[in-house]
Amino acid sequence: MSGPINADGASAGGMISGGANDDAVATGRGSRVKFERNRLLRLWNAWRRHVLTLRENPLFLLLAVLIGTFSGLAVVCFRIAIDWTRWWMLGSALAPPSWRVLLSPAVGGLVVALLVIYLFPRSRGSGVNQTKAAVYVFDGYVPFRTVIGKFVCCALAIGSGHSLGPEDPSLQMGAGIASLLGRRMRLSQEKLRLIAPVGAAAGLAAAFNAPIAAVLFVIEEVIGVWSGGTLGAIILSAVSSVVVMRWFLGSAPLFRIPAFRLQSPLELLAYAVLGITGGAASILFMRIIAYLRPRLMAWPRWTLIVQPAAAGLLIGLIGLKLPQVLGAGYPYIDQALHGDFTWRLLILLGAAKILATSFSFVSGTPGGMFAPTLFIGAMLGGAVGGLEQHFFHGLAGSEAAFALVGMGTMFAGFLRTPITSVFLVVEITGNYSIILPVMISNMLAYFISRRYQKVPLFDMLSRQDGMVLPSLEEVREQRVLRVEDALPESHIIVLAANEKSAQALEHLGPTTDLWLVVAERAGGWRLLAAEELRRRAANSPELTVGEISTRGPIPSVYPDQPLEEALRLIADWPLLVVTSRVNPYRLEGLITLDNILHTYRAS
Amino acid sequence: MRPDDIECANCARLQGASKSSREWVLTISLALIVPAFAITGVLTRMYHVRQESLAAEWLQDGSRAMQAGNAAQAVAALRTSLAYTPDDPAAELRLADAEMVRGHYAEAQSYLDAVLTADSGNGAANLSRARLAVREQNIPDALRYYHNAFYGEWPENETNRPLQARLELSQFLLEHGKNADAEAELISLAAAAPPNDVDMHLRTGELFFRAGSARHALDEFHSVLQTSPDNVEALKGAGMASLQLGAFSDAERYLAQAGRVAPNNTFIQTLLAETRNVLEANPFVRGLSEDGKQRRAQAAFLTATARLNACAVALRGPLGSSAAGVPDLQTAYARVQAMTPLVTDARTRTHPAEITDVMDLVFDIEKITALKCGPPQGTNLALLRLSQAAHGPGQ
Repeated sequence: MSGPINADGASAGGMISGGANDDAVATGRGSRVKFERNRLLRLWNAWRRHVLTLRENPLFLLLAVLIGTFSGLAVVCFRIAIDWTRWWMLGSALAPPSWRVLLSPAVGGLVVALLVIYLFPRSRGSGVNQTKAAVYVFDGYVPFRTVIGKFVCCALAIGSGHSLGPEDPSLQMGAGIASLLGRRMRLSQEKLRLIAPVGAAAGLAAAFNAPIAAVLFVIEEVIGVWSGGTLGAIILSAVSSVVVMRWFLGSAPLFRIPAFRLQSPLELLAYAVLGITGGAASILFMRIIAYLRPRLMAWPRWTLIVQPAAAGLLIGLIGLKLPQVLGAGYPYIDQALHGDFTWRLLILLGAAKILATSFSFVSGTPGGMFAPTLFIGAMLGGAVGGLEQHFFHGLAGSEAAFALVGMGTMFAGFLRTPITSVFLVVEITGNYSIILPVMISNMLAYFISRRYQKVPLFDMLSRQDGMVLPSLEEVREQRVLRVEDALPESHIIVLAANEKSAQALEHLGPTTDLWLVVAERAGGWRLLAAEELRRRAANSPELTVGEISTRGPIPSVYPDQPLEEALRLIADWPLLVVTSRVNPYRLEGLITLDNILHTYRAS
Repeated sequence: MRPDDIECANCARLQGASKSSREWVLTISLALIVPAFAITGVLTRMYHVRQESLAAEWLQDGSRAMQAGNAAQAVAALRTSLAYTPDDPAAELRLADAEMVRGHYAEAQSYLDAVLTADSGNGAANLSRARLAVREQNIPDALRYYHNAFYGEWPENETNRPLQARLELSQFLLEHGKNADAEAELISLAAAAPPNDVDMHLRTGELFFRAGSARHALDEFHSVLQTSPDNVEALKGAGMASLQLGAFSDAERYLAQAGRVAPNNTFIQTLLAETRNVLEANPFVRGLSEDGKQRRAQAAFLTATARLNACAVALRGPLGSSAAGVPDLQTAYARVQAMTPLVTDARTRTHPAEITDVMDLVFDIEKITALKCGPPQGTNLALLRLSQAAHGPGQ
């Protein structure tokens, strides 16, 4: 590193040496260059001193912003690439000519299949699961080649008309960018594991233009825990990616949202019907994928080349009648939100999209399920709204409002992320008054889906791929065992520290307990071996319990604390005291390692 | 303990490598942001330019399809245009118009509401929304949107559209029997309309006439005639307004000129004939001799009496017999009988005031018979018009 240079001195030297004018000018230029170089060096040193020496936690936050920025840029380019591909392959019309509709998805599928097989094999499959795998299995490793693969293959697949969405690939691209930066910066293993979700949130936030929903999704589906350090980084990355995306593509939401107002509480009944329908549709959609995907995966390897093309051909055939099913379908969601379709057409579109998306996805064409899920939800919602209006005029609100709620309903039922589904709709509508129908409908769809389809979509996909990733839904639903569950119902003998040992022995009676609890004056609890008390009382009956050798203070727990906490605290203590939260001097019971283990076994 | 705090020889080496790597990766990453932004900026610019050009192309296609009367094709094209520029009010407005042509009013309303949500003062959107409200017979909404329309914002080359909106509002008010409100709107409209806007003044005049304000109607037709003296519609309108105002000579002049310009227009010819009948039947024409006045009054009396008899016969039977069931006709008949001896040459000549009494009776008979037996023809019609000019149409 160079030492400090006196810029003023250099400048003065230049002035002195200037005999002739040219020399003076040349020397002046030289000193100017030196001065600039000097300033840059000083800046570099300050940069190294203040930024590069940051400890890992602040550095992680700075890195989150960097990840968000790059992910935002990647998503912007990705969206542009999808549209350019679409214009090139399907043309610019919303209803493309028939020959393009028929050929484009098939040709796109063939090219994508070749790319996936020979260049980007890890571009297949769900980005959410690959990000989860990075967190739980691969120490945060997402190959950058997958990022490129996802970008190219998904842009081609979605642009050519395959019924898939750009959000899941965006999520994985974000995770890949984050992983690359984290690895190159040689972060600790702990941070590396967390970096992929940070990027995933950034990618998803930019794709949806909805940072809150993206953060919630990553927490709900990828990492499953609310940890302060991670949350900060995830939020920072999501916000910075959305800022970048809006900088380039504008801040307009994904859809133009119609005005929504709940006319009467009775309307909620109508939304409940939507929830039930959404749940049923989610199960149907999941079962189609659950049935077809493993069967197609079991076909000979050479068929992997033709499967996406065949799926594309089938989608093209559907697209001849219903071109709306091609691609992600955002413009048509927008139209459904504005009541542009009749309920009959909405039913057709919803059903056709389920088929088209299933074909695309099970054939191994890379792409996401988020946009198709929203599409199906919007169509289904609009159809339910239309039907209800038709048969029970006055009970239901506008079809458009139902389409809007339907998006969240399908999201909750199919992707099984109930909290994200609620906030996604609220965030993209910017309308808080929609929250009541959304909550009712989403929760019904979620519960129905859970009741009849035990394994959630992402878990099902990972198991089909031969990997068992932790099911965050199962984790969420798992019953937490608490101290009170292990607390035995037994008579507790508590001795006072100032009690005479003989008197204490009387209290003891014929008990078989090995250990006794002594209440200290200061409020703590200590342990006294029953054998020791008997021995000392026999020798010196006047001795107080406090004067006999005791162990303590014993760690105490509260009845509502997780049993895991008790297991951690018990260590080599023979028992723990369980005290009341209202009155710490009141003993609720004693808990031993046996009690704990028995409760775990029983559960 | 952080990994870089571990004190061991190997770790120190790793720690140094890690720090150096971090320095470079962080610096390079930060330095890469600038070119990455620049490249994305260029791509985005190209993308937006392409989107805008596609939107413009599809908008043009949609407009062409609309002009060709193919609303379905126009809707498809305009929707495509909107997919590229989702908030383009021009495309949304045209799409709303196309949807209205197709009869898809709910869709049209949704597009118009989208425009109005973004820009509540958009004149064109308010006007279209007002038309939808008119279609739904939603009077408060129609009034609100019409008012928003003509007080709203319009492109500089569409200065006439707010006036159009006011004209439509006046028509709407007239259709709903709010003549006074309509007249107020028309007065404002007449003041705002450019003098050389023939069509606007003509339509304003027509609506004034419908609102019952023949005087204002005549003013509007006059202003048209100043610009184009041979405008048939203006001449006809001025003739009708003059007829309404009782200015039969003026009416005859306007209608005669209109008849000359449009000789095949039967309506004008009929109206002209009626006007001439009125002029011939009118005993109050200035400059007419006393004798002439008396003759005309007598003739009017006889014509009216005949009409009264014919009407009574058509309803129940001859007057004075069993026609007691039509009291108005009986009363008129009684007045005729009382008046008949008085209608003599000597009396009417020496007492010109008697002519007025005779004509009052004539006018009453014409009004009653018009009410009971339908609109009259020929001279009776002329007499009815005279009565309307004398007492006003409502009386």
